Amino acid sequence: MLRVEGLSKTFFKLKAVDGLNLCVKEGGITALIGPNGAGKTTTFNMITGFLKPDHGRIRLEGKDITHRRPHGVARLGCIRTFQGVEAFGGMSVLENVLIGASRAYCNHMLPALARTPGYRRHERQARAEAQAALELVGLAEAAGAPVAALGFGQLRLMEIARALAADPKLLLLDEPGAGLNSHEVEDLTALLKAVNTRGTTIFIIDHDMQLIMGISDTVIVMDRGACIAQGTPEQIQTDQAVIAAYLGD
Amino acid sequence: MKRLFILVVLMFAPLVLFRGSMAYYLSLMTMTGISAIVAISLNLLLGYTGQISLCHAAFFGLGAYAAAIASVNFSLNPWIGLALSGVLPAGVALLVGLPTVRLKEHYLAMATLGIGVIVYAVLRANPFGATGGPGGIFAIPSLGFMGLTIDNDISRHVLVTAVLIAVYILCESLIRSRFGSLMQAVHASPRAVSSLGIDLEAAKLKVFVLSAALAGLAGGLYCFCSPLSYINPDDVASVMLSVKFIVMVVIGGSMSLLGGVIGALVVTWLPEFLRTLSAWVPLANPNDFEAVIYGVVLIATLIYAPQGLIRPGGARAQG
Repeated sequence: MLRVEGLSKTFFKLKAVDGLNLCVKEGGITALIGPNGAGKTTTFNMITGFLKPDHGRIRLEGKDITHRRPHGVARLGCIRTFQGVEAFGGMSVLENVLIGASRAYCNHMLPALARTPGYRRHERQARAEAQAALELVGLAEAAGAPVAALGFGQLRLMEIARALAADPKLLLLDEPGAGLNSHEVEDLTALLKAVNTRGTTIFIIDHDMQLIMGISDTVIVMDRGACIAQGTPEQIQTDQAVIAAYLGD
Repeated sequence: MKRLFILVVLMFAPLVLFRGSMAYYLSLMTMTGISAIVAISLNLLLGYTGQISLCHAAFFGLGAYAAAIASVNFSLNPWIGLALSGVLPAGVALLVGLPTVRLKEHYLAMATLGIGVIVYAVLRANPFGATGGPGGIFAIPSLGFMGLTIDNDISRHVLVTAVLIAVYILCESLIRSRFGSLMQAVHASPRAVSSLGIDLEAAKLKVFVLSAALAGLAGGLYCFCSPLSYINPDDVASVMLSVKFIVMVVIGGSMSLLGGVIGALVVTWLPEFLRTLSAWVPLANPNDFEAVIYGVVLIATLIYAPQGLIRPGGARAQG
C-alpha cells in the first residue's frame, strides 16, 4: 500500500533520515519503532507531505506522492495524527470531528453562505459520520463538550475520531500511546484493532512495547535514519541489531 | 439576534441623544458605520482565521477610488460604482493573495504592509490621470434611490446602517456555517487542517478575498456617504488608516463581530471627545494627538482586556 524508497532528509548537517526503504502492507497494522532521534516522525512528516524529502520516492497504492502537499496526500486517504495533540481549541468535540468529516465541502464558502440543498445534505451526512466516529472511540457522550474540558487521553481519542471521520485508507498514528495510563493503553489497543478490522490499514509509531507488540503484524525498527530490522513482533524481540540499538553496543 | 438589536440601537442612538447638534454627530455615526464594516471584515480575517492584514486601508481606498472613478471619470451610475467598489479590491486581493497566503505571522504582516504602501503610492502617482494624484477626485455625485437623492445626513446614515446590518448578518451566517468552523480551525491548528485533506491556502485566500471585498464596499460607501464630496489618498488609503482598523478590532474584540463595531465606535468617537485635551499636550502637529490616543487605548486594552471589550461568548469583559 505504502512504499518508501531511498528516502533522505538532512537538517543542517544532521542526517535525520538516510536512505530509508520501507513498505506497509495493505490491511495490516505496521509499527515503526526506534530510539529517540531515529527519524520516525521525520519519516511520517515526509510521507504526509509536511516535509519535503531531499531524496527518494514515496508511493501510495502505486501513485507517486513524493511532492504532494499535505492536503493532497490526505485526499488520497492517507490521514495522520500528531505527536502533541492538535485540537481545534475553542470548538466543541463534535465540531472538531466535523472538520474531519466535511473535507469534501467545508472549503466552499458560497454554498455555506447560501445554505444550498447540497450543503445541507453534506452537513447531515457529515454529522452522522462524525457521530459514528465519536461512538467508535467511545466519546459520543462528550460530543457537545468544549475540547478544553477533555483530559489528555480523551483528546487523543478525539484526534483519532477526527482522523477516522476523514475516511482514511491508511491511518498514520504518531505516538498515540504517549502519556496514557495502562488502562487507557488497553482501550487504545482494542480501538485500533477494531479500526483495523473495519478495513483501515494502520501505520503506527510508538514507544509503548505493550501496545506495539500487542497489535502489530509487522514491526519496522529504525535507528539513525535507516531501517535496521523488519519482521513480526516475535522476530524483532530477539533481533540482535535491535537490542544493540536500544541498549547501546 | 440580541447583538443585531444592540447594533441597530447603537447606530440610531445619536438621533435621540444629540438633538442639539445632530448633523455633526449623525455624520460622525455614519463614519462609525463605514469603519464598522471594515472592522467586521477584519474580524473575519484577524479574529476568526488568524491572518493579519496591514493593507485593509488599501482595499478601502481601492473601493473608494473604484466608485469615484466610475461615477466621476466615466459618469456611470453611482450604484455601478458602488458595486465595483467591492469587485476591484476582491480582484486585487486575489492577485496579491495567491503568493502571500502561505506566509505566516510577521512575514504576512510585512507583505501586507508592503501592499498597503504600494497602493497608497500608486493612488498618489495619478496613473493614466485617473486618480487625481495627492489631491484626489472631486465633485463625487450622490447615490439615488427610487427618485430620492441620498445627499443629506439622514439618508446617508440610513444607507450606511442598512449595508452595515446586511454585512453583519452575512458574516454572522458565514461564521455559523461549516466554513466558519473551518476558519476557526485554521486559526487553531493549520497543520491539523491540512492533515485532514483540506486545502489550507485556498481557505485562507477565500477569507482574504471576501474581507477585501467588504473593506472595498465600505470604501465605496465612504465615497458616496461621507459629508465630503471628494476623496484623496491620505483620507482613504494611508497606512495609518490600516493601523486604525487593526486598533478597532483589537480594542473591540477580534472574535466577535459586535466587537468590531464597538471598536469602530471607540476609535471614531474618542478623538472627538478628547479633542479639547489636545491643547494641553505639546505636540508639533496637533493631528498627532489622535495617534497618541490610539496608542494609549491600545496599550490599556492589551493590559486590562486582552481579548477586547466584547468577548467571544458575548459577555462584557471585566475591568
